Amino acid sequence: MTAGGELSLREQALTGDESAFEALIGPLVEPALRLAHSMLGDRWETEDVTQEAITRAWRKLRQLRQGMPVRPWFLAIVINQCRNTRRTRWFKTARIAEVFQRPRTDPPDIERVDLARALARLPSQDRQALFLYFYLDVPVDEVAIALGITPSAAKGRIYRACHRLRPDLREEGT
Amino acid sequence: MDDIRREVIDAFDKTQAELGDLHGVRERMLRGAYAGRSARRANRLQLAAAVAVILIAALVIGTFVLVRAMTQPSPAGRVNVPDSTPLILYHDPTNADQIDGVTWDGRTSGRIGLGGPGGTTSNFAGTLFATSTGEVRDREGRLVQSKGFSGVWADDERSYCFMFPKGFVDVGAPAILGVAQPGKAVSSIAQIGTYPAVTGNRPPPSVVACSVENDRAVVFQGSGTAPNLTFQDWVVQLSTGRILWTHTIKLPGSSSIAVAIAASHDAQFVAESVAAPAPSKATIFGPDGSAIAHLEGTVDAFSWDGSLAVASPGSGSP
Repeated sequence: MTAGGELSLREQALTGDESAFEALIGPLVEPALRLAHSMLGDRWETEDVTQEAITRAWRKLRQLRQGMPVRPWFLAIVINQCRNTRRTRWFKTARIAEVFQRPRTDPPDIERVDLARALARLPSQDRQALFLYFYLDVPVDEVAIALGITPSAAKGRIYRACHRLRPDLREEGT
Repeated sequence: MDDIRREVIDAFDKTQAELGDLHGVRERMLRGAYAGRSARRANRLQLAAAVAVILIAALVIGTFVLVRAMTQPSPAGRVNVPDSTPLILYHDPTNADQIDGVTWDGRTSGRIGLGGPGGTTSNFAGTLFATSTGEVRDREGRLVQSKGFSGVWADDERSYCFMFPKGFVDVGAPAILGVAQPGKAVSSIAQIGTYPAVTGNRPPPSVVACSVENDRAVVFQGSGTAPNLTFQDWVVQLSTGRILWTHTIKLPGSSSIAVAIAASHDAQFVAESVAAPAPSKATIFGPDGSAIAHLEGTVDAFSWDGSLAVASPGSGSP
């Protein structure tokens, strides 16, 4: 989807055209759900937050500046909404950790279990950066917009997070 | 780097598996957003109605608050008045996430708590407020209800009316008018309207006014598909679920129709405004459902005693 196309859809959506809004935001709903779930760990809370983020995106569409890609803008709304929710739901952090530590029936791959636990222990902002960059395949520039930081800070955060997971990693390739 | 990428993706995959099948979720989310937008519009009307309780005073105080906010930093301390003193709650101009309060005489103000930038709905006295995430908090910032608030505060300052689908189906399901107090059980009052079907894309019914003191609520829903749109409002007795009166507006032949409903806080007076096609026309109905006034323009709100209506010439602000 081109920036010009997004702008056009944005303008149509601003007039109340629901199909334009759907074309703009619809493809991002599933990534938003997955991102919210990675932060909250609860299916129902994930849906609540994503629902609210979509509603906010609709209302804040005018704030989408010309030339700004839609994806990181919308994912930033999702992240902020998750943070607001988590602010009063401290116990969710414990639940996310439980997911990683759940007993498995098949023989565990020790190294990967360790990595999953290490992921769970990462600061949430580092984990968000990894989730966006690796799991949602979002480029560093957009990770930066979504997290509200500079591209170099985003790159640094991804590198540091990787290094914490695997201390023997080298910087190249990040 | 490719190894770590694969491992990280594998690790996230395991947690994402909990999310299960997402088939149909996207459509449901988008429909919900459209419905939420409509509900918020209704909530805004209610907020306007609350502010219009003493319109002239509100204008003066609003100007005072605005000027004060533009010239002074946000209030540093918490507002220090007893719960029996009504407050006007508003988003801090310098930090939308913060809710501030000011007494109606404008003499005392201060911080209330965090409400989220998405919007806050307070009861008339400003003793409780709901955030955009559905939490309800009191003036001290204490959590009274963790989630699920929607609808309109009642005039007993504790209860609120809201609509919810019967059963677990959120589309095509009968809509139930409920009354609840934060953190307490919901009372189902009556079935009013229907949640729109998947293809209908019309908003669900929404509460316009909720009066526990006067045992009444007003519910409104638009339905149908252009060019055969129907709008209906109901006045319901809360103690029995009986529909005291209902009125339907049928506006065939146009795809660009705007209808607005306003009601007095005690649900005694209801105004139906058809803003488009132009010119805007409004009808005000009395307690028994009979039309008591017709006027050009749109009725936005009523005064607290219902004796005055705030009207605008078009569909905009008064």
